[in-house]
Amino acid sequence: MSELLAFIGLGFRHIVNPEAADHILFLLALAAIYRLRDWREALWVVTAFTVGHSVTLALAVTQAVVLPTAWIEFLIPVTIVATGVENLLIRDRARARWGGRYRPLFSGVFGLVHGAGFANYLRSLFVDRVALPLFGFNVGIELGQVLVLVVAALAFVAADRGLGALRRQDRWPSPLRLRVVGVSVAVILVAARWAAERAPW
Amino acid sequence: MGGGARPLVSPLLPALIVLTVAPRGEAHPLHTTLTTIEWRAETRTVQVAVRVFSQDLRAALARTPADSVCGYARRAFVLRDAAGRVLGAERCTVQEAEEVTWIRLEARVATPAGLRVLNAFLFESFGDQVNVVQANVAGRSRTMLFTRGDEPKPVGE
Repeated sequence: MSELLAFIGLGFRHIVNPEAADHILFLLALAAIYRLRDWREALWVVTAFTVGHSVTLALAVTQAVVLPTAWIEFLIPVTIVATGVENLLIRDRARARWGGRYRPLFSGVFGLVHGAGFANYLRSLFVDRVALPLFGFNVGIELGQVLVLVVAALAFVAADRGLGALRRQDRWPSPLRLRVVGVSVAVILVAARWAAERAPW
Repeated sequence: MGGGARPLVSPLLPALIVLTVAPRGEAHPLHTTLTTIEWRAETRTVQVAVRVFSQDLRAALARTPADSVCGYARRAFVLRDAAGRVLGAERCTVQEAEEVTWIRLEARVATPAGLRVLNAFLFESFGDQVNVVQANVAGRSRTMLFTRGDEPKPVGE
């Protein structure tokens, strides 16, 4: 195996893993509002997240910035709560500010926070050669995220069909809205508990 | 009255279930080690340098308090020759930096042909442990990943 492939594998396994619950929860919160036909937009938002955490990783691993671990670990679930709240507040995305196209931007900004979480680990290990391991690790993370996104999309399609079948009256919210509310509330509850557990004060 | 209680109870029950089954909010650690292996023809030795997070190593040693760092390293890092014999490390040095512990092992190896390696560091402690091994033997470079359940892998092929 080449060195690049090895580090891609390391990044991929880091995400596709039950220990990666906070990362997966954030992806679920990001993806909760999309339908299958919106896959390009969802992919763009997730890629913006990867770009965000790649930037912080690079800055922290090269010691350009030093980040306080306790605050970063606290802010990670806070970004998840914020994403869930945004899901609930914006009922009509077509009428949202900039047509809802600000999501890649906030996903990228939140990615900066999540990347800082890995950075404190990687900085210690890659003391001599940084560029290739870091690049491979980030590519692996992106591939892992895409896999999580695909699995989430399939689960959301199944949930929409189930909710559609249960929907008894037209005045009930649409299956998409029910799904967005259900996923977002669950994500907010769990992430809020994590934020309380990780509070640095 | 009974009908009025329903809207309150229905959303609360799933919320309580979610909060109960959710995992604890521990940070998402990177459980990995980074190891280099180098064959030195002039001394007929293999030099191994393992970088391991000090906190993770302490957690592993806490499970077997009688173990020393070198004792643990000799058990967890295994070199085998072409015949499958274990090549024990004759020298072991440990250097603990701020966050990472460096463990250097040296083993006599008559020939690198057929050499196999297994890095089982911390597999007993962390289910998601992934060990990266970069080998530079007889002019050939190879990078390997080890996860729990792996068998020894050839270094030079």
